Amino acid sequence: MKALMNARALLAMLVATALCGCADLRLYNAGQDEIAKKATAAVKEAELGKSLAPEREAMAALAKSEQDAVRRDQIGRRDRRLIAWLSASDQKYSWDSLDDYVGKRIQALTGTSNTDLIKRIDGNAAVLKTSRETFDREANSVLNETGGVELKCPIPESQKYPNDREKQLILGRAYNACKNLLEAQQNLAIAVAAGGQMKALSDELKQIGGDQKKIEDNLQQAKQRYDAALKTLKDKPAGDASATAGVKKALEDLEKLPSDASLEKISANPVLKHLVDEGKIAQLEKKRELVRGLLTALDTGKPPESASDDQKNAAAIGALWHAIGDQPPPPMTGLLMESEFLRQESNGLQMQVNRAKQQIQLKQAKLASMRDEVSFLVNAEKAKRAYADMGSQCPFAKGQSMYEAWGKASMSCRHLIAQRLISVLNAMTFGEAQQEQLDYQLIALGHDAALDSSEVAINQVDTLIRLPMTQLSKAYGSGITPQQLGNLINALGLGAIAVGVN
Amino acid sequence: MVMAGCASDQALRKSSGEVALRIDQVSADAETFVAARSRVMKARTATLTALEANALDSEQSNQAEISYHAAAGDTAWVELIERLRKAPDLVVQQRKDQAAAAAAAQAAVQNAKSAADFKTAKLTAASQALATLAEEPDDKDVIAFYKDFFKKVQKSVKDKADQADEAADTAESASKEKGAAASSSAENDKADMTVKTASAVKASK
Repeated sequence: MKALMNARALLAMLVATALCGCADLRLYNAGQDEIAKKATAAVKEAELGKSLAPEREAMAALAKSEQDAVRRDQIGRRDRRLIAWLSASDQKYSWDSLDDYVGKRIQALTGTSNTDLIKRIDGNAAVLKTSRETFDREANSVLNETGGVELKCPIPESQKYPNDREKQLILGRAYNACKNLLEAQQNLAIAVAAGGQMKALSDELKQIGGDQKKIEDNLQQAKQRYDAALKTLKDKPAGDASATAGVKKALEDLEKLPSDASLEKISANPVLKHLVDEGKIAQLEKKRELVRGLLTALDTGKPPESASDDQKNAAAIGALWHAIGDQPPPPMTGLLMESEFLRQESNGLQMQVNRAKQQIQLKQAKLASMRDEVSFLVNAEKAKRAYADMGSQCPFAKGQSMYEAWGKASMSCRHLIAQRLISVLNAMTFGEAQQEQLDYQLIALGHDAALDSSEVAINQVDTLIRLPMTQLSKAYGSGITPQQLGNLINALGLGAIAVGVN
Repeated sequence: MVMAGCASDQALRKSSGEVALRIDQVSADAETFVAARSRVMKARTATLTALEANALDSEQSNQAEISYHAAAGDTAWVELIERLRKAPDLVVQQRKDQAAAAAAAQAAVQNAKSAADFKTAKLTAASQALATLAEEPDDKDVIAFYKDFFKKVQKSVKDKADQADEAADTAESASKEKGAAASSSAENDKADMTVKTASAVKASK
């Protein structure tokens, strides 16, 4: 009798299953639901996305300690030299050693001897001085025309008066004077950085700047071509093969390099190889726009524009999606994931691009520090010459130490010794020490960039686990409960069999 | 038994297995990642330690030299050294003041703006909340979609991991190189100064 009752119960369930369609029918299992919920909670608590936050903090603390230590180390070395120069009891280890230091630094930075550098600088500095005086005079003479506001060089846009031809004519001489002043500044900078580390860095920055501009211009044009192609696609009937191919090509072109750019050269440059990712970012963002377009279109009933336009866009974008990926668009939750994935990819690349731009800034700061250092070293050289020019007024006996001379020197001679020493100390402080700090900042930037890449990967893995986990948890939480099944059986008129079961 | 044969249950089991595998993979990758990061941290910490040791060495040696002169009653020398050492600090302060003044002027220009007050943070919060509500409920197609999607993302993740490895290696070797250079340069400086001091002492005798 019991076997008969079980058979009837089984039959009832089979009928119910067959009626509902097996694929959509699942019995709720409280045990599995509990396990799925626990697993989901565990994944959530693991907070994969936040795993690197403590690492970032540790790296930032380390970078700060590095900067402090480099500074202390450099200042310690600086003072050690100063003490040695003033402790030495002969010429060799005081005056000569100081000269040696200055000469070597100038040689390393500019690739030339102190004498040659000063000759080059002096010639250009004289031209610069005259150019500056001329500009100041011209700027003063047109104060009435500029409403009492002094002209600045380089001339800002607001003082170029593009729509006032008459004013432009009156200010023409001042504009020219500014042009000459900028040229003189440029020439002096070139004269200083004619060789050595400064030339190498200056050339590198020039190359990066030039290529960066080319990349940006090229990308701007590619974006315009893409927008035009997308407009054409939307204007044509959905699925138009030519228009679809046009958008697909324009989308691919976004990440292409300028036609005259050398991939080899760009890939070899650690900064440029990331700057070219701006194109890839634009491509990912355009793809995201497509995904968002599809999502808006699928969000039936409430399109921002008229329903017909929206449907048309959905069909056009859907066809485009199919053409780009060789497969139809995924379901809505899939699109949300795709959108999230594209966002993460784009963010990751953007981080690398930002790091590359930070690298450029640090390199520019390093070049500025080198210029600063050369300027202090040149001051030291000039103080040395002025001291020599004083002849017998300033004590300098062969073999005599610096401190010995200091003791015998008049106030004006001491002034020159102090000027020379302080200029060298300033050169060390704002030059060598700062450049060493910038080198460490560049290295720290490399460490941060490595962490950026890891973070993007971790976020993608997190999305890949968390979203399916949520879906699985929902699926395990669903299904037909025994109560619902009983109701279903009764509703289907199978009560007679069920009664037998009961 | 009957239910076990249903496609939805099979898909769930399969998906659960796949997600479990991914989680295992993440755990394994995390261990490798931590080991690699530890290597980087070790290299950086070693460099930092070397720098700090060099700094301390210079500072102590400078202080010792100054104290010898002070003890010998050569206060003029000590005062000269102190005045000269402080000179760059004055320039540092001047530059800081100039930079602060320039930044304040720039900030004043930048902060000059319309007084209209839109609560954009609230609007963003509302749009984020609505975006969350707009998410679709579960769909068995979605579970199937994950498989293809996983392959795609995995490639990207692998690329990022490779990129991170490469960047970490470059930065790590740069750190090591700098650390070695710092130590060797400090040694040279020290040797150089020792020769000079010895010679100075000899000459003074």
